[in-house]
Amino acid sequence: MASDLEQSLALCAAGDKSALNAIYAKEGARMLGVALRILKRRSLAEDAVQDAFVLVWRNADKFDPAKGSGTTWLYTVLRNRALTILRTESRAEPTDMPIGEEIADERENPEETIARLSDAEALKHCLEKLEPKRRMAIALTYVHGLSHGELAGKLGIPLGTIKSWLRRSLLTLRECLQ
Amino acid sequence: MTTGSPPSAMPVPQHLQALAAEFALGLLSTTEADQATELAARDVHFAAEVERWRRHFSGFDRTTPMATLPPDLWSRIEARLADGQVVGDQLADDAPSLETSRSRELRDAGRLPISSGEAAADSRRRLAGWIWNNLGFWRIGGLVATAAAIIITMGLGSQLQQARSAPVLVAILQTPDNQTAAVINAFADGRTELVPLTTFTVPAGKVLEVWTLWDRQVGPRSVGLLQAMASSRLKLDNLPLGANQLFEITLEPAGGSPIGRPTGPILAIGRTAQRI
Repeated sequence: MASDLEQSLALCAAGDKSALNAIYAKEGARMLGVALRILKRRSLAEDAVQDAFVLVWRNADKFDPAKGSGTTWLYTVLRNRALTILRTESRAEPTDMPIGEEIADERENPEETIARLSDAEALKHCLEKLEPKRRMAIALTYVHGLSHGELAGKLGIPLGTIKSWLRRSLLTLRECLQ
Repeated sequence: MTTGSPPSAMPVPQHLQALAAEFALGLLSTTEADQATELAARDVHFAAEVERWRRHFSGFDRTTPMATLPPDLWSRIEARLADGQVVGDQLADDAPSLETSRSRELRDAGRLPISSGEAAADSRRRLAGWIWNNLGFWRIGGLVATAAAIIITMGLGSQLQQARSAPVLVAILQTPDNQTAAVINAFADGRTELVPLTTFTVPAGKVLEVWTLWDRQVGPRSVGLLQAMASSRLKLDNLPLGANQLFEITLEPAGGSPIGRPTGPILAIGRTAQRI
């Protein structure tokens, strides 16, 4: 049985614009929240959401419910777009933005984010079994879009070892998630 | 579980398990991500591994607070659909055509009146301004130490080569007693790194915070937090960077300064200079 979202995606693929609007009405506010956590600036986050919907509209026919859920597909489109903006476009931007526009959640605590995960999620229970630094790294990377280099800086881990350190963390996490 | 459950787990080699996780987290470079996309198209087990990771991580998306949608966002999306502006066929595509809308919005943002929160920010700024303005006396010490610093910079030659390109801007940070504490290198591609040359004792519950100041009207901005002095990349992505720009490292409470401006003692300070 396809979810509402998956049905909407099928309708989008068939050219029904009201189905795209239905996705926007249901997921838009959450999507903007996700983009804001990565990009921090409202104008950039709105751009990411806008781009994501254009991409969803144009690529809805490529969504295959046999390969994954509509939710992961939708949020992958959004996160890819937000991360691309974060890593490439925002760097080249003019810098006369008023500071007040920036979102003050820079220091949102990753432990709190993990605590907010639903108890029903294996992810929560398995992250809690990891060393605090390791689970923090995973949350920061997914939620705020930190790169290896930024993680190294934030956690005080040498740049040369961060990659293998994070891989070990992920493989430990995977064992628990199984 | 609803539909779309990926095929059940088949042994995926460990390095591909890790690659799938990095892919789902968004850690791969463009080239690596393209390769992973290709691999997922060929190998259903790898694709299922990626989907499993994405499904687990999507729990984080559900912890996100809802943001207020601007009333005109949907009409902006509709306009984009109508004018046939192409973003690209691939999901992870770069979209140079988006530049136009983005720069237009930035210009619009620049014309907005100053927000009411500015008043509170102003008093914090004045406090911060006092700290920054009273750093003048260090500059004298800085000049004395310049010769030593140049020699140290040259000694870093091999490290700089490892970075494949030479920095366009270099700042040498010095302690109040004129020890060279760190070098900051800024590269043409926007990467900015801190290379430590000394260690600081960081008491429990404290961190080192790196700041930059390019405009006293704007005030200093945090560009990185360190548990200890270590080679690290600074987060200057959105900030301007030019010659004669101040950088400093202060000691702050864990998690960084609570007010977004330096509050603790300054451990090292210096200004950028253009590489000749």
